[in-house]
Amino acid sequence: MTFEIEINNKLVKVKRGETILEVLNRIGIKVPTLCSMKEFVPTGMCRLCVVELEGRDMLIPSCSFKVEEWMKIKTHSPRVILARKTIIELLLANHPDDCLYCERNGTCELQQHAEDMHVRERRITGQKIATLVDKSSIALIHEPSKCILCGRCIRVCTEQMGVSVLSFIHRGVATSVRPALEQPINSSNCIFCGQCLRVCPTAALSDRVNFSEMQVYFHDPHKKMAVTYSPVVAVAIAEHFGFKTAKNINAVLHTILRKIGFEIVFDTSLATDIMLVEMCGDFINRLRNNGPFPMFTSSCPAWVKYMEQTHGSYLKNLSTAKSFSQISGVVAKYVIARQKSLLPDDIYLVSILPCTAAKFEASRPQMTLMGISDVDTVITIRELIRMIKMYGIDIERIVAEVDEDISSSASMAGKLVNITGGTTETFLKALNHFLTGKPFAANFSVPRMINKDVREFQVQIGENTFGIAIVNGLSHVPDFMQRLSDRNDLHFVEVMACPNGCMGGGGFPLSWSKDSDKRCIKNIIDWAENDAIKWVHHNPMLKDVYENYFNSSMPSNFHERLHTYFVKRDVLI
Amino acid sequence: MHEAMAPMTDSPNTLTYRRHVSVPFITVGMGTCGTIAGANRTFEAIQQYLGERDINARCVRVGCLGLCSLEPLVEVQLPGWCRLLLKNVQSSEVFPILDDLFHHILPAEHAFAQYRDEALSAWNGVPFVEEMPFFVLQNRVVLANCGKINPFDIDEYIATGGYRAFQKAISMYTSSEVCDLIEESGLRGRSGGGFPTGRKWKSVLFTNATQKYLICNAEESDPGAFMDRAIIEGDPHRVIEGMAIAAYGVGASKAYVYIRTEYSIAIQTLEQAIRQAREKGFLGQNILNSGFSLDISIKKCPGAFVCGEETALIASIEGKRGMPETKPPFPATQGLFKKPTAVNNVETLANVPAIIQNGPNWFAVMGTTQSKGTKIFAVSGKTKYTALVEVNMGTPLRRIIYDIIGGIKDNKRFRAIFLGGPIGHCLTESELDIPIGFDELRQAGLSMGSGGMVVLDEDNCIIDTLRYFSHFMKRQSCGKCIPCREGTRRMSEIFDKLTRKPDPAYKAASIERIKSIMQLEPLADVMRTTSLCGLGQSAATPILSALQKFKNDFEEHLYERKCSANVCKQLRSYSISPKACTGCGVCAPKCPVEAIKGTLRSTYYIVEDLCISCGKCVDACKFNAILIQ
Repeated sequence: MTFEIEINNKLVKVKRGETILEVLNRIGIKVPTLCSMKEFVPTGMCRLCVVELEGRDMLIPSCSFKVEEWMKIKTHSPRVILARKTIIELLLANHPDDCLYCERNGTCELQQHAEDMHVRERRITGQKIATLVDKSSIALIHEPSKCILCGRCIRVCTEQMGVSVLSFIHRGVATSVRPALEQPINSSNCIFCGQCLRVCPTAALSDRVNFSEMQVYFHDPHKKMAVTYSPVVAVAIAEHFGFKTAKNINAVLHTILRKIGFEIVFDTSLATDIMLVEMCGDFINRLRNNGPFPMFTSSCPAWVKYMEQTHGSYLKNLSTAKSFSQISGVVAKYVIARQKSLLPDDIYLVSILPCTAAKFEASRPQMTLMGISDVDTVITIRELIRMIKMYGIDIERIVAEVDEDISSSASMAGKLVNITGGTTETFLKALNHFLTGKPFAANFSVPRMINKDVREFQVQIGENTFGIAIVNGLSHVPDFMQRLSDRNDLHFVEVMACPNGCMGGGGFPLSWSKDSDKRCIKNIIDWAENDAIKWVHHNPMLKDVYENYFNSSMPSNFHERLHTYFVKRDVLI
Repeated sequence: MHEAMAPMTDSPNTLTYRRHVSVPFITVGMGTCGTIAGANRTFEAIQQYLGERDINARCVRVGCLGLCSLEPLVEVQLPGWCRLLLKNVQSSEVFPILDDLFHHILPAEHAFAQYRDEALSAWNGVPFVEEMPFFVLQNRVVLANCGKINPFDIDEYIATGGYRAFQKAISMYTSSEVCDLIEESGLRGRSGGGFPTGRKWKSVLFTNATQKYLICNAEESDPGAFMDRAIIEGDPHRVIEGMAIAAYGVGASKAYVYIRTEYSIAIQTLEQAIRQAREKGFLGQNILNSGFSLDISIKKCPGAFVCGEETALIASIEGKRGMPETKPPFPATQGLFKKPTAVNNVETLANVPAIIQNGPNWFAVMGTTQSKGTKIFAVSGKTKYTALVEVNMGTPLRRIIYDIIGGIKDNKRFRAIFLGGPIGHCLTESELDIPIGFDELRQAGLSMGSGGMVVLDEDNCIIDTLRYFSHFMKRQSCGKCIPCREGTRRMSEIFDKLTRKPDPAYKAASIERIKSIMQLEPLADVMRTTSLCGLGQSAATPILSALQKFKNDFEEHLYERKCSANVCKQLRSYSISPKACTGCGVCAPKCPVEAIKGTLRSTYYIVEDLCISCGKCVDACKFNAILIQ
């Protein structure tokens, strides 16, 4: 039902049930917000979006009030502007004034609001609060003094991820956002998904930036710098710098990375193919030994940590195959190294991923064999963008140098596994090949789970019928696991901690809109479908790699470099 | 639990023989106020006395009579004699007092009043209750039983006509008729907002839901308010009966009492009362064969000011962090566990039984046109008594302060009242004649508040009181919305600056001090208009109202850096009188900032720019040579 209300002396058609903020956004009136997030119930915490209702003394938050017939709204009356400015000034009063040294300098929402409100004078002064910076974790840095308590991270952590690491503690002036019992993040049940820092308006939550420690090795004559990147990174860089996807973005990214100084550049596609083959091997082994089923994917490091700390009894169900990011390390240090007559230790491998949890994964002791880590450093897309700027690379004028490398022969799995459902799709195709050797039925399709929650279905492979489940986002896991204990019809479960899989990961640029996310998902799917090699078992290079480097047929018999193990984790939950 | 605190029950007929007793009858006020004053020991001493002397007498604990500063209050009724009210009966004095009394000698020092009864012989020289303004000018409806009956005995409450209203409600009226009656009576919420109770109940009743809830809000945490505590401690069954009627009225089968853990005596009283009501069949399944079921749970909370706000209270009962939510949706349509919920204050609910029993017209006769009935006030501060008074709506404040309570202590000059504690307005002498009532006060730009009344005299500093309130609010803000969380913090810092001399080490301190006070009013206004809940919206109320009425005080503190009430210690300036100083040199090493200079046997002096006004030199000087200005 539509009716008309008066906004800034003009009649505007509105629908019943819309909030005032939605109407204002629709008709092109910008109202500042700090706490509001799309797809979340408004909490009305920041009070920045207040508007004036004619005849009312109180200003009301437009985010949480629904439109009603009698409303006459003023969105930028002097009172409203003064109130908004005062709120920003109140936040600035005890904010640490170190914008120039701040991780979010230039991308900070508080900074932007202060600029928009034209705050040029310190009208309200306040005592600064000195708090310790929590640098305990390998992936996240928490700086409470920069926190403006908007509560976005808490809602993402609780409602979207379902892990509830962060929450408000204490009250009044002492209120702060912390893990339980004010413990540091590394002893909490944080899974390092990085969703919180994607929504943090300031630098209260940020990721640990690794590229400065990595830069040291550029000067090390004994080290060859190698870099591996997920195809998502290429798509994201294209989106971020706004160049046409028609360009060969893979070649562009190669060129960029070479200009930065990496000598060996390859993407994770080959490693992804190896991962899927190893997963098939694990699955076939389970079939022979009657379980344990279902087999969970273990390619998402956030999900693996969640399992280790929450469902210790199901650890045997996790596929022991390493994730594609870690297998890239194996490819670099045992395949490429041998090709180039280098020792594994001569290579310093940087992995660029849209993921913050991978930083944690790379640091796991199981990922190091005889003192040599698979991956030496993981950096996110954000860090790569920073490096591109630092190394003065002009993206507009870059000329793509096409060079043949190991990743040129890979299936489209390398792209598809980044979307929830993609792992299942490519895994089942490969499994069918290994079990039956026949092509798949033509009508077979696996749902790609963009913005879906949980999907279950059955698949016929040879004589077997397998129960498959795909869980998109960790918040659906508790329910799913609860139902799991009394059912035995499931054989394979794919879980991606972040919604939409790696495409919703915590390593994407912070200033992105939802549209950028959507375009990236579309681009990576389009790209995947144009690939010459469709499925894992079509990759001609795999056989060669397995025979020459792992001395085995496909899949390997639990090759120690390609498989890992999991341990129960004691954390504060 | 202390032995004397153990709930004790008398035989069912205690009350009936109180007027003409066959054995001596003694009551001891043992509410929180009495207990703090030592009533437990008094009670023990009385029992010991009776035991040692082998006297057959009854000794009963009761709630608070309302004269909190005269506790421990003991009432003694000897056979054939008028009932005598004794004040300040400490345990050490029990034996001589009772010795005297049993020999019919009046302990004049302790005798406060007596209850007139023509059939009995009166005590000489003791005023009758009917002659004392404290009792006569009050209209004790809700407090009728407080300090009179044993709160641990349901039969005493029943003997005063208790639970009849509840029986009447469930047997004679439908739920909506109950709501109609309450609406007709004009009862409005007693916690400050003044929302018509009947209308609130109706919106709960007429919202479709499988489950509805009633919550009794006993989270009374503004400094200076203790009405709800006294009602629960003195007459818990009235609250339970009110809750039962309200639950029937809104269609709730589950009710909660949300009470702070600090109210341990109240909780204990209430637990016992709920148990007894269950035993008597006033609570439970299918109550009195009416088909109506009700269960009441006590929800103890850690005492947070913000949890008095209904949405924060609901979040707290749900097990979440006590933070308010935006309204709408109001709790009446979507409250506890997302079900329709009526949240009422203790005093509001305690008014309900009498309205049902006596009819809405009886209630509507009391009070003013828009504010019906009576209101309880907890008066504390610099008054002659700290007391709990219940007066008709429409009574001017002056009558409460001067006539009922007896004016300001030690005949000092009245300065201000903070009506409603740290979120209320402050009133000056000229505003004392405004009749108490929701709309009357609103017209004068004031608000009723929950009933806490803090009276200040000439020895109090308004600025210092505001500083106290601002620090209280700073601690009690839940931290959710920015204007309240940051605003209260800045306010408290501004008042800290105002009550202190500018820091000499910091060059811009003086200018910042003045600058920040200029921001006080606009900041207070933003907090008022943009905060999420009532706490933030009214956190600046006392400040805004004091800025209007006590401008001189602000200016004096700001420009002259002086506190004429001599409260703000850090504003004082100290100097050494050359006449009195003997040059002993004791003060100099005591000064923490080395502001005292001089040589032995000659006059010392204080460097004013260094002095932080701590006052340590005053304590050190044996010759009274330090002058304070």
